[in-house]
Amino acid sequence: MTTLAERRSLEPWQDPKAVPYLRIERVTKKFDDIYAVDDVSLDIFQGEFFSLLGSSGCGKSTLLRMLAGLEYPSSGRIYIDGVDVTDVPAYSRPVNMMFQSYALFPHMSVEQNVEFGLKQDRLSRRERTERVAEMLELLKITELRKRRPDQLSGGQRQRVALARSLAKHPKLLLLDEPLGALDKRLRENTQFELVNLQERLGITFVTVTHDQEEAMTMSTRIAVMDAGQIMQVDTPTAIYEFPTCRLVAEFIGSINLFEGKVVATEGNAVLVETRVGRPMRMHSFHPMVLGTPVTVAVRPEKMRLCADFRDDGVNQLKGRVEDIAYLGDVSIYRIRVGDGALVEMTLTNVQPRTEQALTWEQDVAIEWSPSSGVVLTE
Amino acid sequence: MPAPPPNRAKHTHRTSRLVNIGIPYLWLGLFFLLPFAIVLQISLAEPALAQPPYTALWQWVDEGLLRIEINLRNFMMVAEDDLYLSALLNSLQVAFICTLLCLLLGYPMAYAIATAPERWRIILLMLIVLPFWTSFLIRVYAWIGILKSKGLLNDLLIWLGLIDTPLAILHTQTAIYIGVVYSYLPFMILPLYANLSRLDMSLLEAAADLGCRPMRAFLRVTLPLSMAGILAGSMLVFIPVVGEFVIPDLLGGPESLMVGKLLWTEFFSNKDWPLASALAILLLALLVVPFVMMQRLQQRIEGGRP
Amino acid sequence: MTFGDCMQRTSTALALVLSAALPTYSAISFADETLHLYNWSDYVAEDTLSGFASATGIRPRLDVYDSNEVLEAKLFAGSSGYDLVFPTARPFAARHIAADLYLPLDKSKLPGLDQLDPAIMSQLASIDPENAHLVPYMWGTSGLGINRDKVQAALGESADLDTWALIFDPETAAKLGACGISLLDDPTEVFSAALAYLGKDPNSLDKADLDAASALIKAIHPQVRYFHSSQYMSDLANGDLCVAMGYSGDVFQAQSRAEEADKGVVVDYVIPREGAPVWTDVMAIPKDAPNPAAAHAFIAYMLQPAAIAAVSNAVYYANPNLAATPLLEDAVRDDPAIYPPAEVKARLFVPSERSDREIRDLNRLWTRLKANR
Repeated sequence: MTTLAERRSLEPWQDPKAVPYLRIERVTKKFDDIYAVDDVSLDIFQGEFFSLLGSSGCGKSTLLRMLAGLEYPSSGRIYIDGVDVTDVPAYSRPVNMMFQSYALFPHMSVEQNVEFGLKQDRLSRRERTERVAEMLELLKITELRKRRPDQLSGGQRQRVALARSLAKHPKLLLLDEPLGALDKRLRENTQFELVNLQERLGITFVTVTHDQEEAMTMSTRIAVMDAGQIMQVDTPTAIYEFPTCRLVAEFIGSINLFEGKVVATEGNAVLVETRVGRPMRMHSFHPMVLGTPVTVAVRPEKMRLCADFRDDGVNQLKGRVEDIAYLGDVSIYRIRVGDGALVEMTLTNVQPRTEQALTWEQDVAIEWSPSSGVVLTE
Repeated sequence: MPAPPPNRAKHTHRTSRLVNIGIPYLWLGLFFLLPFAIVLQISLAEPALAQPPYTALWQWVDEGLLRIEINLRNFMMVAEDDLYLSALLNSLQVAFICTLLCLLLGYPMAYAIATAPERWRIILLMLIVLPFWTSFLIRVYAWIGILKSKGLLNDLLIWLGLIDTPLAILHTQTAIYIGVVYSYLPFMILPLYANLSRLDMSLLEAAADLGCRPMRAFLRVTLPLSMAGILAGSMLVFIPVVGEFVIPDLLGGPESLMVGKLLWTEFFSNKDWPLASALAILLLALLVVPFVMMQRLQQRIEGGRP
Repeated sequence: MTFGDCMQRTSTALALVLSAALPTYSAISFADETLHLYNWSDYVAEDTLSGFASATGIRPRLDVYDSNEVLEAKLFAGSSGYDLVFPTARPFAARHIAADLYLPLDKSKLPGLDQLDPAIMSQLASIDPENAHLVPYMWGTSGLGINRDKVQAALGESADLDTWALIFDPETAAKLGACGISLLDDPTEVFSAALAYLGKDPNSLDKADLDAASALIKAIHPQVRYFHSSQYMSDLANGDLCVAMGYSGDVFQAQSRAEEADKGVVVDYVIPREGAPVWTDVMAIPKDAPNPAAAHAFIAYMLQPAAIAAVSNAVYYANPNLAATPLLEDAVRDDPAIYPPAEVKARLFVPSERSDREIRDLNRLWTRLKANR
């Protein structure tokens, strides 16, 4: 088990010499005239917990099914461990999948379900029994082994499905919305369990999810998909803090977006003029041409109350509190600013609510630092 | 306004429950048990030259003296005479083979329909059901035209040069098989289709994902899961075919002795209603046993509860 | 006879019912009355029902059967709803009388009874004392329908055709089997023919005689295409059969169908020289008939020589009405197969009465024989 610090020093995707375990090369899948997956390339490394994130219909499930061999690409290649498996049928791939519906065989007991894949491998009876016991133990479902799927709760079924897909000791496990059918509380517990399991077994996981929180919690990296294409691939932190396009920025968490254009460049910062007030100065990683239409994106928790509002200050806005949402740990404030736009700000509730500084209809000034947001060009 | 007595709701609830449970039993009693009792009663009587042509089971001889006569000779005769036994066995054999043939033909058809694209399914199902729009009798008659020695089939085979002399198919057991399989195939396909169309295709994907080739996946997943449909279809074919009369009468020959024809002879030619009833009762008993067995099996497969 | 047969000619029957349904209101006394007839299929002339309707004002409704057994089952079950039925006298009508199923006739309403053939009437009196219940309708024989060309092709030009040997002699039958032999599905008829061929009493119930007849039928069984009581009509007409044991009128109908089709098929009817069964179909009114008065009116109508002659001309069966004979078409009256000359008549035999037990035993023996067990 690697620590976070160790990991950071040798992330494989940052190492140009690392060989990907799973390589997806310009894969396209067309259904009739619709591109479900459109020219996707991805490298996924040994031991990763990789998430394909996107809303329904974005092509993430189709991509996963192509990895499993349940669909074949219209064009492009798929390599697993260096072997081209593009045309290999599902039953011959060294990959297992946990289905969104779990797809447990209703006519078999838990035990028989878990044993199913092992029987196809022609393992001896003794080996099979041992492996089944091991899996049931691992997922803590030994007591349920004689039951049938219709006698199990949702959470129990999820464990059986997981045990079944892990029984063959695959090097690569595909999970289609692994927590989708569970209720919220169970989902949160299971998230951590799944990560622990993955780290313990050292298997590469590729999951599909529409739940950004789930993706953020579990993944080493996330690929955000839309309309069959990959919008951004990065670590959860990078996806959150440094989205590369409005779509990713909006898909993950909430964010304040100010449209404008570049009016000046100052070293690694740009000055952006927007409709909501004075220019904003933001750090930019890319050089920008004057006049480029851009969007300044700032997360609500990066906003703070401004103690000294100056008429010539940058990244400062004046407005009036219009709405307060109290969430316990934090409160979200909606502030109407100059141009009539609403800006969201999140403040941690350090004080009990009754003693909070801000109330409705109060005039406030807010600000943020040039490094706490990004300038998006698309 | 006074509140309704608290037990009123409970009472109506109980009444409606009684009605709900009662109706099926009433149905069963009226349309199964009562006719069965009448047939049973006739089977215990003796044939007589009267209207109706059998003796009464009981009569008041004197005040307070009821005479009940139970005649078991009909059952004894059916049991002793190998004619009836061989007719029963032949009927069972015909029904068994036809059920098997229907299953072998019907399963791939039902499977193909269930997995066909949505817009095709309704058309294919229509094609299965379409023959029902023509009278059953006329369809069986049509087979006479097809199978007879100068019929369509023989003409075609001779024209193709496959045979020189017409095949004798009509009035043989083969013709019965053809007629029965043709007539009862939809009864196999429809329940199988209903079952297979509910089959979760992701189960087959899961099987493939776990390393199962398509044929094995069919044997280990599709087949066991469609067992309820197979049993339902088989019962819908097997049970009526055992007592089938029209098809053996029209297409079969003198040697295809089936219990339906024997019943007809006893009832009409021999005017021996009691013997015909005894035969019917034994036939029923013979069918109820496998039926109950299949029901048990189905419960075990479907329910899966220990 | 079977259920399937009944359906075969339903379309003709339907046409008859439809034509009969056209109401005529000429007579006042029976206006709006309906008569429910239950008769054999193809057993009335085209104008019989309409003639009756216009003569009496009663609307006749005709249902048809083509086996005595079906009729009998309805009669014994009771409440058949029919006013007039047409069973074969022996053994059917005989046991119906024994079971008290029929209404005694009101002979005052039946003028013309005295024109009926006294020979037939006295013969019927043995099962119906004083002719109290039955009025004869038609009579005929059971003989052989023959496709002459095919039989001669198989047996030679000079072969005898007027003999049961055509079907009962195993050697002859073997030669004819390929082009088709059919027997009636009726044990009484077939056994009596077989016994006649063997030179024994056609009505014998002697075990040795029955065994001999059974052996005979067993021997020719492989050559028999089917046992059926009406199928042979169309097959004879089409040339699909060589020899069929059949009812005289049915064979004649096959003959005229073959002529109509004009495909060179020639059908003959022969009364074998060893003797043949003769039968009489009678009219009788069920005890529970809804409208016995109308039934009497119909019997009275059929006692009119012109009405019954028209039926004979249409269906090629002889009728028992002596006054009707001059009204017959020559082809019918002079056909020795329909109205046999005295020396042939002498060889015909009437089936004798049998107990239910005897009939059942015979039927079960028959079922076994047919199944070749």
